[in-house]
Amino acid sequence: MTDEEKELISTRLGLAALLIIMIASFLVWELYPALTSILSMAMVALPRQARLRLCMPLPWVLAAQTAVVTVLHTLGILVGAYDLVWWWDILTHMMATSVIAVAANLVITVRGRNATPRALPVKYVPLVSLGLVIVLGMVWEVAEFSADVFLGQMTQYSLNDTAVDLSVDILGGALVAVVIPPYLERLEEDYGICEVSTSSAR
Amino acid sequence: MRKVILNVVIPLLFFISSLASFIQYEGGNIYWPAAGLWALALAVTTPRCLASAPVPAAAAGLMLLAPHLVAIIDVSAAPDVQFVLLPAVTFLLAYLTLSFLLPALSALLSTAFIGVSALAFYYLDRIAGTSFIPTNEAFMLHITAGLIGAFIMYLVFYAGLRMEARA
Repeated sequence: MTDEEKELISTRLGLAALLIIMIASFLVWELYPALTSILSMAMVALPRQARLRLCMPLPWVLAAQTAVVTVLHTLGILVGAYDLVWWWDILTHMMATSVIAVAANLVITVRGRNATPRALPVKYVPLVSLGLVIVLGMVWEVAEFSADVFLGQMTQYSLNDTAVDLSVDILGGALVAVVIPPYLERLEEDYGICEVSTSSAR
Repeated sequence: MRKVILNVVIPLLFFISSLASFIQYEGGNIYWPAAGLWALALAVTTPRCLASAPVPAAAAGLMLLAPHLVAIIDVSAAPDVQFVLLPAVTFLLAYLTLSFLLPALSALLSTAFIGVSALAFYYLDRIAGTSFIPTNEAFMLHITAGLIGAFIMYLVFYAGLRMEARA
């Protein structure tokens, strides 16, 4: 089985699971997990779209991990796992961050090659990606805080919860920054640069 | 004269400003000395980098001194000046650190600095029993201010680059 086929299977399984969660959410009239599952479907489709439209074949494990983390997140909201299982939050944050970090590393590598005034050296890519992951973690926390303040939600439980979330984000980003350099160095020169073939889009 | 300003005056101003940032005021911004430490590291390790980017270096130096200048008139206003200027200072420090990269990356690094510093102070509170960040609201205030400030600095620098390209 090729990597592309594995990616396709992971994507389809993820979409199917999210569809089930979405239907279940509507059945019990829980709008938050329903809307989250719709957004998650778009995220699950991203690795496939990156391959087909941006010429950026991501590791199939990334597609599988995206599917798993979005399913865990929406399921967690629906069944209240975030309240019942203390490590659920840590698990989803860590997984989501590592997915974003890998994607960020690849995108920054491709964009960095064409950066002006000069190309971004590959050795700086993990550092820049780590910065991006930290900032995205901060943006996420600000979004949660805003939802709590302006929409009366209860997404941030305490200072401890916020700080642990951000710490786990940084840990996931740092882990990827340590592991990914050999993979980036092995990427071909024309990675992310090709003619977009619409006929191959499925 | 120009050479003296570039190679001596600006690095010296930057060095003195970084040291001055360790002088704290009551209710002063907790991140200010951390930014000062970053500036001090730059002043000591890469003084040439400061000479090659004199405008951001001089601006960062003056901004680090600004709370003290304001304190001459009104001491109670110094912490507010620190709070407002912190994102600008960290952006300029990031710009000097990554002077060969794009302004967007400087905004990224300065924001990440504030996020990591906020966490560092949180853990310091937990370990040492201090109360730099007593509540979730205080934590979010620092993070939000950092994000907004870095974004504004990015816009300012981006507009500057666009104008430079047109001229």
